[in-house]
Amino acid sequence: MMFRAKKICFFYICVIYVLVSYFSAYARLEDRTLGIIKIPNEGCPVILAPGQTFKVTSEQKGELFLIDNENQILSLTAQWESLTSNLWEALVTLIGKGIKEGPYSLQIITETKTKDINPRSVWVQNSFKEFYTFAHISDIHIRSNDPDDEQTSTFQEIIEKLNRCDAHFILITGDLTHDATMEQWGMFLKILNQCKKPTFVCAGNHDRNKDNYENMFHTSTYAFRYGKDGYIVYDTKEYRVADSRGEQDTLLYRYSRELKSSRWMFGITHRYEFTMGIRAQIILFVDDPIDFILYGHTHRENTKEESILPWGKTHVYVVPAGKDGYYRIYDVGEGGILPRPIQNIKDHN
Amino acid sequence: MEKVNLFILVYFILLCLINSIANAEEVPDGQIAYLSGEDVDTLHVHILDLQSKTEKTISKASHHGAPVWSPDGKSIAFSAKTDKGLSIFIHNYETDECHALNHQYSWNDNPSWSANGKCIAYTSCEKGLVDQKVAVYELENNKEEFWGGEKVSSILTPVWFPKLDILNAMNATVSQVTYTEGFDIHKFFDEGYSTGVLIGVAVFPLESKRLTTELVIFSKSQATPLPKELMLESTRFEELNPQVSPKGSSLVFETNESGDREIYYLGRKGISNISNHHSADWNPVWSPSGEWVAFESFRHGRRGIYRVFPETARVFPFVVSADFDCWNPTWSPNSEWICFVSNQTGTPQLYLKNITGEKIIPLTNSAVNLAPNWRPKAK
Repeated sequence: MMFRAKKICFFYICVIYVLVSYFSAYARLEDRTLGIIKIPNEGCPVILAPGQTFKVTSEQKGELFLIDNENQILSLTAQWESLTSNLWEALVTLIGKGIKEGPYSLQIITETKTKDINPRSVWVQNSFKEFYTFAHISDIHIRSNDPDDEQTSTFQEIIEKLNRCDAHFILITGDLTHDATMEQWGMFLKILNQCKKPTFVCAGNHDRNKDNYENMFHTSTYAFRYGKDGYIVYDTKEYRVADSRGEQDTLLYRYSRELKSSRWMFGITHRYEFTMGIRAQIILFVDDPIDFILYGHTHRENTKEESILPWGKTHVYVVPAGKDGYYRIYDVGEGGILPRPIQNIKDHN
Repeated sequence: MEKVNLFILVYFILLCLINSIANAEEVPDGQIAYLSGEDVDTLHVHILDLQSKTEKTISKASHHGAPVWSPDGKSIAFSAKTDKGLSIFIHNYETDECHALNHQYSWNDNPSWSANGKCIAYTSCEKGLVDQKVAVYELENNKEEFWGGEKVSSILTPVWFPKLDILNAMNATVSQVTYTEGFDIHKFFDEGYSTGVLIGVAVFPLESKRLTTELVIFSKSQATPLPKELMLESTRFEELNPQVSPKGSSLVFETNESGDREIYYLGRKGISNISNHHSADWNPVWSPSGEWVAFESFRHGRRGIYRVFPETARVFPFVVSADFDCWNPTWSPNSEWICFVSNQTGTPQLYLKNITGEKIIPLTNSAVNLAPNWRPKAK
């Protein structure tokens, strides 16, 4: 009798272990770097409506699944293609009229039965509206893995505020950490994952510590569409490496062409200075000028004189530092972008 | 019967030998300087000998910029990080001596050798590359001077004219040529013949306060935009990347005059669009023979390398793929090979291809390799 009870108990422990590990334990590696699935992830998610397609970049091929907050699993059909960089890319079409709105974790089960899961990486919306809102934070400067640290608690409060606001997604424009150590990245991700809206991040000058940023989010240059609008996210980097020696200019040109048909085109980066690579400036602000650029870095709002880039066609919106509690919400519609006043977590409303 | 068997055996051995010779990677001789590192923040200049496959690394200072060979192939100039900012370093290829130039300003970048190898021009400024001036350094006298006078600021990437042929031709083409107010063309040519002339891209604000770029020629004390009678209407368009032909008889540059980035050719017969495609065409590089211009284009989707014969504007694809990008072409001294960067294995690596061949020969296989520059043959 005793032996049978032990057996049943062991069986249930096994079932619970399998379930827990199935749904949670595979999110990123132990050091919080990305596992098998590289894109999408919590800092570079996809937002799409049923019937639309998205791309998955992965170290291995496999079966893909979406898992919602109630652990309902939806199997995806993927067309895999080998990339030149020892990676695989899957083209996935989101089929299913009944799929509910909200965040999904993306799971892969590879041919060798290895699992990986990226939480908060796929967001489903039934449709995209003409008019929508987004929030902008910058310069968080997480300094440690201590949750009581001032920067950490301020970031947490901003996320709590934004969870209650009407923004459809959140842009976080660099200096996410202060020294880009793995402890700081771990704390940043922990708070980021408390956000109930899609979060798009880009790298700042403080986030450059070996290739830690790439290990966390895979790429610092990417683009996405939200409804009719296009967003190009890129890393200003140092002016020395922002020139045409590297690969970023290729991506910037390609993205600006792909998103040319957008109603509005946004540039999302950490900073703008005239000293950044001239080729990147020519692509983004001269030949096919983007309409709006959003960034941080200066820890202050832009002045009226700074409200348009010196090339004359791109409007500028700079948000003061998130470490000081600042954030901003923007309304986007047919008339363009309408920034609401800059807010602080200490504000009462 | 035995004779027949022997004949067949010899035939097959010969066939294999011929086949293996034909397939052997026939690599030209020469040296290529380039940037290599674990990531873009740890780049150092390396020099690869193509025949022996041996490599030298210049370890002095950090954050090296793109290497540029002197015309005689004896030295390499590059910028690198110092305590104050960026300095131009000169590395002697034969003795391995490497030293920094003495600068007045902290930030110095984009070195360009004069045709006789005695001077180096570069951009120079006090802080962060705003309001860049062009400095010219006389190597024999260790003397740095700022060129172009006070009227032009924020110059990008100066390039020397090896000869003044094209400038003479321009001056002679039209009787009424408009230069900047106060510009003395006779003094300009006097200075040009004694110390040389440079061309660069000036970034300056228009009356509407909008920035634009314009091609500017400058001597020791004077600067002027290229005469508007010979150029496109430059205030409406942004020019970039002027490259003077090896003989100094023509130049190519980029402009967005056609609505997208195109390569234009300015010669004795006037100005013409030589790339002409609705995708971007940029980064023109003259072959040492002066017959061809290699450039990068997105006309087949990915960034690829093409070559054009400027006289007829006939464009030939050089290395183009639907799966990867290729950029930064540098010609061999005999103009028969091009070394370039490609991300076909996922990271930027150097490759080599003959202009009439099909085979792409990989040269590097480490983390990040960029900005190749082929050592010229001493004249």
